[in-house]
Amino acid sequence: MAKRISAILILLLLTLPCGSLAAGMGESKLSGAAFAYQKALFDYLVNDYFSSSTTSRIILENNAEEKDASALLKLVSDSRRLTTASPAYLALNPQVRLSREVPGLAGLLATFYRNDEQENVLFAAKELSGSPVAAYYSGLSLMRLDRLKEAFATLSKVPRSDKYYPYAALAQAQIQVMTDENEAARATLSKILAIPPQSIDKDMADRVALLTGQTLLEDERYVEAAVEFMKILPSSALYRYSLMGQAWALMSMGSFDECIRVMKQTLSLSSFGLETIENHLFAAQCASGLGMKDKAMAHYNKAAEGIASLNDYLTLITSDAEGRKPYVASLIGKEGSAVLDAEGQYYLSLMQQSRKTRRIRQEYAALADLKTVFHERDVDLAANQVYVQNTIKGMEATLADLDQDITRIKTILMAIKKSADVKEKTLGGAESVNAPFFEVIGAEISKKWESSSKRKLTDEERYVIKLILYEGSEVLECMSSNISCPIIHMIVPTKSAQAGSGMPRALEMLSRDVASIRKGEKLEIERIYDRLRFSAMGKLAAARKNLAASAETRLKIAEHTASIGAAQAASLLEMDGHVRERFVKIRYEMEDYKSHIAALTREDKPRPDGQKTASAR
Amino acid sequence: MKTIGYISLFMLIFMNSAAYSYAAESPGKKGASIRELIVDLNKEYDALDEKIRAFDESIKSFPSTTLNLSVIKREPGIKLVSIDVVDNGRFVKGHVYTPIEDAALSAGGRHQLYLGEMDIGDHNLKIIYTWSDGGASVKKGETSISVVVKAARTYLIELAIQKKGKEIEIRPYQLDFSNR
Repeated sequence: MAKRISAILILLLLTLPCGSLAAGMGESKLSGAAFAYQKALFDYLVNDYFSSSTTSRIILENNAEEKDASALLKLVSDSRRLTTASPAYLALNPQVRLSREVPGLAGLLATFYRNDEQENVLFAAKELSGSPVAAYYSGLSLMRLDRLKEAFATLSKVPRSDKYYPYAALAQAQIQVMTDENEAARATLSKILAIPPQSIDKDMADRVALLTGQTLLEDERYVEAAVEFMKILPSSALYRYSLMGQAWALMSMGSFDECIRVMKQTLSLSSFGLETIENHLFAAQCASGLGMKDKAMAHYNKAAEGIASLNDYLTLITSDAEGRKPYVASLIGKEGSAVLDAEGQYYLSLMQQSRKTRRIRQEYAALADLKTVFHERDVDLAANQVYVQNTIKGMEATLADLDQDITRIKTILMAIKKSADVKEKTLGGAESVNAPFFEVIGAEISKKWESSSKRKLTDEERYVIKLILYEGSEVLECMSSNISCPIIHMIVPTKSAQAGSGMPRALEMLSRDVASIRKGEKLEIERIYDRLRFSAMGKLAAARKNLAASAETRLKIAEHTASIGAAQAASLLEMDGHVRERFVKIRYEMEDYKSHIAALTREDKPRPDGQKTASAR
Repeated sequence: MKTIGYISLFMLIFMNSAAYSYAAESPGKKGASIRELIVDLNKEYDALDEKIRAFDESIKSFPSTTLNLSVIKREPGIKLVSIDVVDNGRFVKGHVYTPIEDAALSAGGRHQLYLGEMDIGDHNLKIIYTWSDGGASVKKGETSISVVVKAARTYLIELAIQKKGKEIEIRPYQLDFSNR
């Protein structure tokens, strides 16, 4: 809507009646074309190529100025517009079909996917059937929706030659791991490694190694698993995970000393409480396996300290709604995660994976969309209300102004009539000695009029000519100059009058109106005005009705918005309850950790008498 | 015959010139002659014709009363952060400038900040803006514009970001396309 108004404005820029503002404000003179060009340049630079192209086209079609710059801007805008297909352009052009070759498409699909807008991804993919990038993102979306079989089949549509193939194959392997098909997953992953190394990035090779290692670990092929994990270098973002994998493989193989070495490294990389606790517990088990009771105990104690500290945090957050707000805000789709530390980000990632979170988030988003629709409608209605109010005020003011104009005309006509009545008696009336003379002159001028207008003059017109002739001194004055005395044209036809300058019409109208005033009838302009006034009153009545209807609709919208707001509040409350539940669950898991540690420490604690506990024995 | 007519008329006028004044009650002129009254009347008709034509148009579709606020930058070194527009105490429009939009303004672009129907009457537009000169701190400024809005007019205001000593100000300019 705003874009449409903007385009119309540009078109009308040079002819707009502009209101004057407060005194003292600076004045900036520039051409409408320069104004429009500056706007087009801004649109172009902020990547709104559709708007910049449209504005440039309007400048080119309507103005001589800024032509070269606008032509260039239009050219580059069109070139960019057709190769990037911004969402705004697509939204404005529903008839435009998405091109399979659109380079910006991957970004658009990725944005939909990241925003958890799986329906949008699937919709766009349907429009683009055959596009590898669309197949890849729709496969990911189907995975997110737990439609694993469909996801696998869709991902298979990405051809091996396409740059998205490694990512699609990795996603397929993940599906196979999720469905316990480890052997098949490894086969899929090996296909990625068959691609020439220069065609895949290092991050991809690390991901393949990590997933392969995980499948081997699950299949109890520990040596091979450790080898896979060791392929990941310390510079990789996945290094921490590879260390954990190595530690698992080493402990499972009974290589406790190696396990301790790896865990030492892992602990140095731990970034938050729960991860540190788990790493200490793991390290304790490795130390215990090697018979290093004191070392194991030291790790258990550190894990217990971590649990106590974490427990305090969890107790606080389960009872403090304010503390949960960043989690709720982030999960519901608002910004909020920025304030969370690494620990918080970890819990957040756990909660994001829950189906309940996704459901509440989707419900909230749907309500927000609905609220936006109502809000936009309300904004439109409010703008329309202002317009209708302006229409009513403006038309009422114009009617009052026209009333005054008509009254003024009638007053002048009355004055003419009064003067004429007097003059007719004193100068040219029947009793006047000059009457025959005026008759002759009047007849002569009327004859000229008839010859120039090619019609017979009416009695009223003859009367007005005669009336003006009575004003001999005025006529004398005017005979020498047509410019200073335009009235002469009304009785003596000139070239300009004959060419239709409007004077014959004035004579006609004047004659009719003088006659009407004499007869006490309505003037012709009054009759035209009455018709207009009638239409205006109808329009005003309709406008007032429109205002009342708008007010009623806005009231209903306010009611709907309030109920949507209440539903959103309920969603937020539900999300908060869900977050609380998750933290309570984590707290229970902490209790498990505590009992676990208690059991392990009972087993591993050296007895004062130097005897081993029963279990250790 | 035509010549005789004109001469006769001339003679008549010459002989009686002093006697042909009269006192008519004209709205603007007391003692105006019929000629003056008719000239006045003709002008009134012309003006009324124009008004009635415009009114006829406005009955079909009353013209908009529009406020058009656009932003330009006269000092490229400044980073514009945000602008809020408040009309008679009511929030109308707010915009936070992204780095790309700020760069577009620095490159000579014009941002269409607001375009909408405005109600007839007195308005006090408060423009609240924040900016930075490259440092971390964001500074705030404010400027007011008084407008008496009349029906069917477009009010084109340019908000120009410019330096005022060491500070930055947004100076409002009324745009005028008429003399170009």
